[in-house]
Amino acid sequence: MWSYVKNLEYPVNLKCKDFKMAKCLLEQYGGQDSELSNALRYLNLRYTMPNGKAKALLTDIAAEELSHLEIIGTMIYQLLSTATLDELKIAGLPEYYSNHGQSLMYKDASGIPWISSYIQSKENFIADLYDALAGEQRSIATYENLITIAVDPEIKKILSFLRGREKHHFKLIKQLIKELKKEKKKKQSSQNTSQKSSQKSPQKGSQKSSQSNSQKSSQSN
Amino acid sequence: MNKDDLLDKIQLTQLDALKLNMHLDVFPNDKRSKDEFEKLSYELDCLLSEYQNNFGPLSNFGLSYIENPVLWTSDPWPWDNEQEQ
Repeated sequence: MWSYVKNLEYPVNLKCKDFKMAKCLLEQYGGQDSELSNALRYLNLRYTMPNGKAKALLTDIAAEELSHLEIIGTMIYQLLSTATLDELKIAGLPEYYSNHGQSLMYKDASGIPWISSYIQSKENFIADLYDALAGEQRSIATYENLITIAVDPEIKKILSFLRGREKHHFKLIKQLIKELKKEKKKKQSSQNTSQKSSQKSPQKGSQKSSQSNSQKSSQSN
Repeated sequence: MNKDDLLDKIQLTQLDALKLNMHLDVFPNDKRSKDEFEKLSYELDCLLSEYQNNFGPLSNFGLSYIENPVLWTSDPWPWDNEQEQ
């Protein structure tokens, strides 16, 4: 179950009039590598994770990505809500305004709506977690572009915080993959040795002896 | 502490607790982080209790220290800009 806490993960109180930035920030709100994609990816990949550790980390990261989505949404909302119609036109937002007014919508900076094919699931946890890693890296790159574009120091500060958090997620997922791979290898090698030892006995002797072997083992069981 | 200072303190403590929580997901046997996480959780609990008893609920679904349906709806929402109030 989910519950809400009525404060942002990082405070947002924008006083600037950088309306072009509202349009650019949509990339992190409803773009391919947005916080929405990150949050929904983690929420969805949790179910088939191989152990409790992986399920815990993905649940916690998903929840934080939702908090990031709220921070991005707050920035866009605060920028849009103080803009006059002329300012929105100058900022290149008349098409957006025609459809959504000054409300928010899950679209990227070019106006393309979010679709679920931005994310993926394969049941194979290695494939899924590498996809999550790549998603974090693309998200970091998007933040770097946005920080370059931003003029207002307050916006730059918030975006830098978010970029830092994504970097942190990246490190944790990387560590998780390392451990899961090690575990998988260990499991496979122990399976291989048990398979080998069970294959050895019929190869050694005649059918009779293998039968007596299996009888013995069933008796001992 | 006044309302804004208390909420700032809550936000900072939440963030530290969140970071430790995620670290402990991957390194659950890290004793130092475990102790620090416990200490921070207690601090956060105290701060949340102080804030909510004085200024109203911060969480929904019965998870607040005090329930006040009027303040839950009328108190500004996190995305509301401070200059508008």
